Amino acid sequence: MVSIANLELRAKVAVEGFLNGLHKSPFRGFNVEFNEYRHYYQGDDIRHVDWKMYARTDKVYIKQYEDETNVRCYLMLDCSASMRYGSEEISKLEFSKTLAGSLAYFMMMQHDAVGLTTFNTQMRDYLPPRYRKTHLTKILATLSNLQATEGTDLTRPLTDMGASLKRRSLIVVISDLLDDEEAVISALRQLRSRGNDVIVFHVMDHAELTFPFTQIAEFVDLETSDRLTTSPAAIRKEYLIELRKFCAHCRTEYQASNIDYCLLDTSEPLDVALSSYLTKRVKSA
Amino acid sequence: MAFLSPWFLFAIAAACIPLIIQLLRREKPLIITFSSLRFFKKTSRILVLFQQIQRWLLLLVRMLILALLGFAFSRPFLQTELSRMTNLTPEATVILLDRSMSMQYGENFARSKEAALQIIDQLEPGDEAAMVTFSDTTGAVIDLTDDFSRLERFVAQLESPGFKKTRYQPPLRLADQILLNTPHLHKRVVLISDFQQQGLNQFGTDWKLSPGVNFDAIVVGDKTVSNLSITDVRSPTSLIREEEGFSILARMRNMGTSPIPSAKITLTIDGEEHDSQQVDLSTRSEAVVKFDTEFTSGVHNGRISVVDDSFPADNHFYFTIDVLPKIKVLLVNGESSKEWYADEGHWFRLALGESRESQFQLELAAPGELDPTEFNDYDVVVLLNIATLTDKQYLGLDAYARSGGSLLLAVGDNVRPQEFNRGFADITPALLHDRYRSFTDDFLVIADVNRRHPLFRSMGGGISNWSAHIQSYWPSEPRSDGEILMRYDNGAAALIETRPGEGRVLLLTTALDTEWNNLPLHSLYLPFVHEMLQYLTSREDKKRFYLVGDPVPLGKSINGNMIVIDPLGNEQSTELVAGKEAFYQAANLPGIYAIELEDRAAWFAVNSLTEESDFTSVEPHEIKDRVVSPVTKPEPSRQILNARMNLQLERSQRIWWWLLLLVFLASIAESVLSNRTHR
Repeated sequence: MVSIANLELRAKVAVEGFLNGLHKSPFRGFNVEFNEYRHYYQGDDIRHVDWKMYARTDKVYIKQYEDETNVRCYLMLDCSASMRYGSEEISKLEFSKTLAGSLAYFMMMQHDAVGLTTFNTQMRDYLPPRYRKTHLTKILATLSNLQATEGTDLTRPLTDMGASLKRRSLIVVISDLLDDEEAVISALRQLRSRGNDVIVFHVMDHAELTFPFTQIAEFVDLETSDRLTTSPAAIRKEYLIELRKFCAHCRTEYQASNIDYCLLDTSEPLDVALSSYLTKRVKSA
Repeated sequence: MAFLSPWFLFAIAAACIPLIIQLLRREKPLIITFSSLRFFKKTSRILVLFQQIQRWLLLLVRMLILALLGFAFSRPFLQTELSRMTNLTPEATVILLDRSMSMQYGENFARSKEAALQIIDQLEPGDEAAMVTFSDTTGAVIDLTDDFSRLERFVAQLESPGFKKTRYQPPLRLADQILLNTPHLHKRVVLISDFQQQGLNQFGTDWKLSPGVNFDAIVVGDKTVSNLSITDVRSPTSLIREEEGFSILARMRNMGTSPIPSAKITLTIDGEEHDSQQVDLSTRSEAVVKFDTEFTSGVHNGRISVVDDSFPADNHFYFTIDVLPKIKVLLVNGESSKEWYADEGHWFRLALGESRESQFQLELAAPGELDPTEFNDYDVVVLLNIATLTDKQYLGLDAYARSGGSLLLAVGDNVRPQEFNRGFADITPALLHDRYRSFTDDFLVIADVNRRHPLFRSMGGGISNWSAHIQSYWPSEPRSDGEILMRYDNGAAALIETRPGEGRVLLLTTALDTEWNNLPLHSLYLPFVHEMLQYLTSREDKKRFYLVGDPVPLGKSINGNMIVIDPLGNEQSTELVAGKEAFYQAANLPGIYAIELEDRAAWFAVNSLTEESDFTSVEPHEIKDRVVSPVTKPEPSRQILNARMNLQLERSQRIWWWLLLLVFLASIAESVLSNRTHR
């Protein structure tokens, strides 16, 4: 799938491949389109009155618009420099883009409104949630043009996001979480405390998870440009312990706050991520 | 240090090869851009530093291995070892340090230690030195060594000199033997002493140091010496009367080089000062001090002391005095007469003396008056010319002798051999035969005397010249246990001893009056009778004092555990066995020694050696002239020199093996380090 250059196509292949595997899925009924009229009540915006229906029936109905969906979903994608890392064919950013695109595509199929926020040390792009075909195109275009630069500051975008939300929403955070974990957890808790559902996709490269290096090497930090020459064989054990401790801490803290946490290995398919989303979608419905 | 293959030293440069390789082929590490180093930082800083150190250490070890190999193959050796064998100047020195009693004078010993340390300090690398302490014999020795600090420690730890005399030849002989085996061609003996003249006593005139051995002398004695010494004390050996005045004479001598106008001499008896006197002595003069005193019975210890003298080691003279009771003698006269010339016991009584001064208490009895129950009241029973006794009396004498009593049998013309042999069958030293009578003008003399017997020991050589004429005697046949102590010139026994049971019996085969001989008319008659009686009662003279180093007899007729306590209170236990002579060999300090045996106590005195008080010195060159060989240029055998040279060369190159051992150890370290270093 990595060989597919077009992000839209990649997302489509991913989602359809995923759906083909869902035989007798309990989620099949969600695809039925649903449009209706309702009586006008005082205070409704008169711009939404269906004047044709009024002309035929002489009754005032408010037209339910197609973009009025069950779930408003915000995709928050980390585009800090550390996301540029990829030990194999795909970097964490590419993986995250595909994931975000797939989720957007999938959500559109579910008639959910999808928005996109990208950030590194600050919020970079913001597309509000919409349920339109053209909006998906915008999201995919934004993702395609996205470049990983600078450091990571998850706290600020999350805080800004929390402040701007007026309705309960589903917030999907896609990041490698290489930031101050306590601050990030605190910001996510605030989001959660306002009634939002939060899913955190913790994207890690396979090399980050297994540290397969053998030769003495000079490691360069993608965000800070710090350099360290060391023998990977000597530090592997300690590295893996520290990493697992970090992941375990995140998992524990998020679960304690009813935040879904999903660790994704870039060398594995996206099924896990999509499945995780669907679970959350069911709960939201 | 020098090298047999110095060109191999260039190989040490090979040690730089690992460094060059390290610098030239230093690979730049692979650069990996990584998402974040946050998980590295907690662990890797110290680890990286440690690894860097390990890497550099490994490099150093590898360089060390190459350098050591180069160094080892250059065959290094110690030049100091080799220089001994060349014509350089290393020297072997033996330091002789005098520790005789005279070295206690003033600062003599401190100066001698200082001189020894100075010699050691002047030794050069390659030199060797030995140390020998001596007095009358050699003491502690340190063989030739180049460990000079060991010699210094030895000198520093030397304790004050003892009380032994000075003899120069034993240490010089030992020094010569020590130097005999050294490869050094330059050898010398350094004698540090006060150079007493008496140290040359018993110095063999023929002996000299080996050719090539030089002699140096360091005199540490004072030129001006002040010393008043007690050279002798005459006190009664054993007193036989109690509470009567006796004189103790002390001979004083000024051994120093300056006059002593006033010196106080004191007499101490049993720890209490008894009397004191003043003496005035010019240089090398003598004086006799007389102390009048009285004694009660028992054993006493005494001391004559010089007060405030410069040489405390000889300021006291110790002695012991035994106050003994008189010897009780029962004289049984077999031919008594009112006319003195016809009385058998007349001469015997005269010899013993009946005055108050006599050490004998004599009682007389006729043969018929003898009461066997009273024998034990006497120390000695003397039977003179007894014809016969009752069986009861014979049995009583037999029992008396066996239980420890002493009998003196002198036989004359009254004696009947058959009766004598029957009555004294079990206790007589010999059986009598028919009487011997010489012709009118012929006579016998005393010709053979066992001078080693205690009876004659104190009589000296005079007994051999006893020219008394014996005209008649009783020939005898000694018993198997009878010991002949004296013979006539015809070989017949004159005096025979036997020991039935615990007692002693002496048989004189001629009469003790003038009827058969003229013994009583000779001057030896009196000491002969006295010595016989004293021997029979075992009253041997006890020595008044011993000298330091003398073996002190502890007795040979005693059983039990004897404890000797020296003047410092140290105890030494000795197990005594009857019949085996035991000696106390540790009388190394002057003073009074106490002896304890079960519930009995005794003392003996030990004095310092008078000759050590004499500071008359000998010129060092006089000793040098005696001991240094006239052969001034020794020519040691070339063969021996070559053999020693080879030996020394081999020894001096052993460093090669140590270097290879280091290489081996370094290789092990390299293996360990390289396995631990991550790549």
